[in-house]
Amino acid sequence: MGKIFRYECRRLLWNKFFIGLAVVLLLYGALVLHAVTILGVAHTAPFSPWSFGDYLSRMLPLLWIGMLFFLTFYTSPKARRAAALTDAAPMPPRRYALARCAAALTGGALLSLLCMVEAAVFYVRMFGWCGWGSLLLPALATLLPALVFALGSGWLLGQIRPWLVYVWMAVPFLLAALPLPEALGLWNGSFFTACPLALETLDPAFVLPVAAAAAQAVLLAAGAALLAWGNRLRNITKK
Amino acid sequence: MKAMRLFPLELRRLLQSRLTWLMMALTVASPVLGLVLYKPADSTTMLSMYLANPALAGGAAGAILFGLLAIFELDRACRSRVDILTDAVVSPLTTALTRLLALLTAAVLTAGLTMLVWLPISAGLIGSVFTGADYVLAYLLLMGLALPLGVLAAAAAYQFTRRADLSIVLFIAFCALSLTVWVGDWQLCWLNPCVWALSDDFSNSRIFRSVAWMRLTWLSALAGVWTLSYLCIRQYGKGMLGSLARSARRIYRPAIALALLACSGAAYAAQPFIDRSNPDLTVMSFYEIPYAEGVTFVRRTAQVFPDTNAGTVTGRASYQFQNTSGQEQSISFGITPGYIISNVKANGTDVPFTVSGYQEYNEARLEVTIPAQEDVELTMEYSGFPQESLPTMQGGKELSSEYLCLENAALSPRVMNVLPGEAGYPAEIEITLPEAMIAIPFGSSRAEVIAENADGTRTWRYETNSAGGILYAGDYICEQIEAGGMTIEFYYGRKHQAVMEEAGAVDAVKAVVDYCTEHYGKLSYGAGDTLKLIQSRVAGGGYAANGASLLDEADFTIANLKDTSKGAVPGEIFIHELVHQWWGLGNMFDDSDGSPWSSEGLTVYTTYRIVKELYGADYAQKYYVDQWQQVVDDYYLNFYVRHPEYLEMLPEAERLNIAGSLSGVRRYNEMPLKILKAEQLVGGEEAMDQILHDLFNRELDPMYPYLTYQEFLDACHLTEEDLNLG
Amino acid sequence: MEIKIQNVGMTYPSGKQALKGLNLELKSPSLIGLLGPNGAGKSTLMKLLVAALMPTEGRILADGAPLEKAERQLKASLGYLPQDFGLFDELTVTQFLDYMAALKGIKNPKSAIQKTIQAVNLEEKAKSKIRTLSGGQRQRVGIAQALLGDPPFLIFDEPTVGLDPEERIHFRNLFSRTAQERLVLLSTHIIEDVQSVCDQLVVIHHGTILFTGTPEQLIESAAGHVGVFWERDEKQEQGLHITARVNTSQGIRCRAVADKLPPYAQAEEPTLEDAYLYLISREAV
Repeated sequence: MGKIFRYECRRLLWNKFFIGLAVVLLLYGALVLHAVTILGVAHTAPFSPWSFGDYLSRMLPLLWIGMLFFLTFYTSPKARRAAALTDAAPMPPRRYALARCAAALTGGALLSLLCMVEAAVFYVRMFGWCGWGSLLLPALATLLPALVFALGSGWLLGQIRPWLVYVWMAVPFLLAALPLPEALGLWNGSFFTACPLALETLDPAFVLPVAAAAAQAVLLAAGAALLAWGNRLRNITKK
Repeated sequence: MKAMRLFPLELRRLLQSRLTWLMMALTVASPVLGLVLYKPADSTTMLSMYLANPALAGGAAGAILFGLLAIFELDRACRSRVDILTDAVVSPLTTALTRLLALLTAAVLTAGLTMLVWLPISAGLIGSVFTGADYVLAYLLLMGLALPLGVLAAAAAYQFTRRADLSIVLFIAFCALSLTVWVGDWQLCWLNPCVWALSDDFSNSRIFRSVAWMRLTWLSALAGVWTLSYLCIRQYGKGMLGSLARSARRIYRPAIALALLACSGAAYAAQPFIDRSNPDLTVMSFYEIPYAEGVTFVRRTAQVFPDTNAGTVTGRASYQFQNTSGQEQSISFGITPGYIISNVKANGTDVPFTVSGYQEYNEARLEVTIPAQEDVELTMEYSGFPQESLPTMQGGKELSSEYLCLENAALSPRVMNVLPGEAGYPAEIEITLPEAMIAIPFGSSRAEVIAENADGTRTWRYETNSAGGILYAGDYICEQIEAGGMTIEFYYGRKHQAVMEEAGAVDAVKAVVDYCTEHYGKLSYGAGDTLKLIQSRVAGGGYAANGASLLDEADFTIANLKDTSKGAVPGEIFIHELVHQWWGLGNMFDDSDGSPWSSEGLTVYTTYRIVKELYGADYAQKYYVDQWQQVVDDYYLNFYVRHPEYLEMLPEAERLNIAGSLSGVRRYNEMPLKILKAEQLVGGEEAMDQILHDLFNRELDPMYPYLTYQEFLDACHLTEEDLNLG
Repeated sequence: MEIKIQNVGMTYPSGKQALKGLNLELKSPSLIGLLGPNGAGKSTLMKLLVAALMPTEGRILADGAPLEKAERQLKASLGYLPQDFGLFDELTVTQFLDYMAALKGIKNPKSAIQKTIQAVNLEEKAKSKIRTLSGGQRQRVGIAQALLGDPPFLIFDEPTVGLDPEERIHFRNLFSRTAQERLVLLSTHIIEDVQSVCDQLVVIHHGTILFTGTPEQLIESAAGHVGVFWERDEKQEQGLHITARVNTSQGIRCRAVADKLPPYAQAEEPTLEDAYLYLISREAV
């Protein structure tokens, strides 16, 4: 399984597409950092967990798209033709899917890391600030559930119809346009601008309200569940 | 020529595809995005909202859709492996050319269809200021030309990479660059031209010319790139470079590609619209040029001949100086970038001159050496296409048979280092204009027709007293309004007559002038008792000078005037600009140091008072005081306000940007709030009105005629601390 | 290895009935040729055998265990080359085989890969990216992945498509050698391939089995039904299926199969191709 994972990573991450995506991501990241993050959100410092979370929320649509693009490596017509061979192999489909999803997740994690490193460089260059430990929680809370959900839902949709993955790429933009309730604020980034103001103290420490944490946990669980469902569906549709 | 034979066949095949029709339908519908979602033209003129934005959105969406269609269509043959069959019959190069022609034809058809579909909708939305010429040009330039660009870019990406997925990523990244990183760079944003406003009441020739230039630059560039990619079409089993080497054997092909790219490069470098002014607006080196020793200004005359078809200006200027130094002196003039100076003579003899490459505030420096004679008459000729400084707000130097605005050096070279003579800087300007235009000098001067020429033009003359000067001319209507003991000359575009009359604009002007005169006093400046109010072509705001005030047409649009929530008076910016006649001109402020006390504080406060009187206390509280309070609260909590040390750490560009925005907040929101607090502390509105009346009419110190914060505090018997809002 | 197909039927969700009431026993060692016209149901049968599809009727037993329960064991002992397949173009041949070896759970992949690369004559291309390979070379990669790990049950669907005659003979022999101790199912249109290596034949038509037995038995069944004659102007008799027409200096020499040969035809020894065509033509009548 380790070998499959390594080969899938190689397929996903060692190509012009990944490099192009990384470049686009870095350019967009620089734009966000210099135009928005530098001002700080909700009166907090540009390097506060809130501003950092806001930056990540703005990067999330691109990460989401990147993640789904990785899945197209498994759902494209070309990949489906290769499945004629791989499906006949004795490796349990679940383990195989797990290895592939892990590779896609690694791709997503690498892109996320790239965004975070870019922010870190920005903070050091602009403010000589390097207290990165405080940024870990907002990064995890923002990115992990969303990326796992992208993976799970994208995987499932890819099994149903490959083109649905492309349609699914538009979801973050739709969410950004919708007035979501407070608890779902992490889904469109409004959480990071609204929550610190609601706390009514200056420069509040980062806290994740129970409702928001629950929403993220549900998202994470839903992602995992959809992933499992996608695998089952794969087995069913095959037969 | 095989391509031409195959073209109808390919076009028919393309038009039989359902995807083509879907893309065409989406493109035709896409201008609706400009009405609801994507509004790059942020001005509120009717043409900006209902013509520019839909056309821009249609262009951006259409280019993306047609780009994707191009990639899909080019990949279709490869995907279905038909290419193996077709390549055996026709060269893949011919196939590529045929496909491109078919796609471009589909794009042209779609643009035409869009124009037909949106014609009645646009005409209905825009109302009486709709014109066919603006409509056709807007859809042709802002939308139509975007589609071939999208097709060329996407097709080139596919022909280089031969992979649909990679081409889509590259193409989308190219579009995203235009929509994000290049958005402020008028020559680079190929997808979404920098159009911030289209004028309702006057012409838009300048902005259309600029967009056409950008489009043609890119058309040439992308046609060149496409031709290169065409040469890279894989043949004979060779890779990209092998195929390129093979296809380039016919030397005219790479020559065409290089010629197109060279044309584009030349068009990019030699653009005539935007100058190269120093972007650092804190540098004012032209104001630091030492005065020519012993030289004084006697008189200036200029004959200006605008070519309203070409958008250019030709002129002759004559300057009389008194040179008592007994030496040659170097005289500096500011000239508008784009003008070429010739025939410079002093007392009839050619004299040496140089024009600097360095530009600042939309001026280049012309240096002329005048002889060591006491009376010198310097004459020169100038001509050219006047350039602008702000690429994202083009249109300021509109010059057509409907409208023109010539400011300072654009009118005639502006003397920079000669002291005024006894009479100051007397000048006599003559300008020859089409019959329908009337000349309106900005200020107290009055222009008169001195000649009706045989070619249907009229020559106007006016006298003024300044080294520069601004002249507006256009197809205007003038209303004379008696208000506040003055005669207001209200000039507005002929196209707008019905709208202005319906909105009762004349009464509104009267109301504002009456209020200010009654509460603060009569305007003291200007020639006698007249004030010109000139409706300008959309400019993003207005300004005032002695005896004249400029009002942006965007405040008079049909939509704005019909907005009943704002009451009977059109546009509050209108009031704001008019109030600047009192606070800003009638009473001057030293705005140069960036301090919160500036002409804006009292102007915004007075606007609030007028609005309160007109629409009631609740409205004024909601839209003025509450909003100031909100902004000021945010300001005090701002991270950089609380921790200025971090602001200091930032690189200069970022620091200036943030500091500028913070200073704006203080001038426009904190200071009005402080004045409001002062009003409460001094005992209410009446008491404050009395204080302001006294300040307005105080005796001025000619050495420092500015109204200072301390004077205001003293008049209120308050200290700075009293007005702290914290 | 023993595969039992009992009363298997397969109807696709679209309603198309691909197989009906199929009964078949396959036992190793054996090289079984699967013949049938296009759309006869060959590929469906193979998909059923690799558990890519589940039969809608009947059952398949692999070594006595129903396939739905023994899917993993079956796959562990299966090498499969589908007719239409894709490869990961971005990997090299060795990397792709290593990938497949990992999927198959092969213990010592290196030597297994080396062995199969040798077997399919791809040593020179072992380090090349798959996207650079020709059609025939890609087909060989497909065969190599099926042979990986010496599986006891091999299914090849049109394996020699795209191969040159020399390669075809090479692979024919390879399949024959492989089948010495294993069960190999070979589906093909090329009768020559079947004739030279298969010890057993299965002919499917319209989703049912028309014939099972040895090639000799099939040939025997056509004895007396193959003849040659000179083409004449008069109307050709009904029930006569011409299998060859040769232009010669004396006229056109025809070879035909028929239930009852016309009197002017001279009886000939049937070939496997004649016998196959006779079988199919009889069915068509």
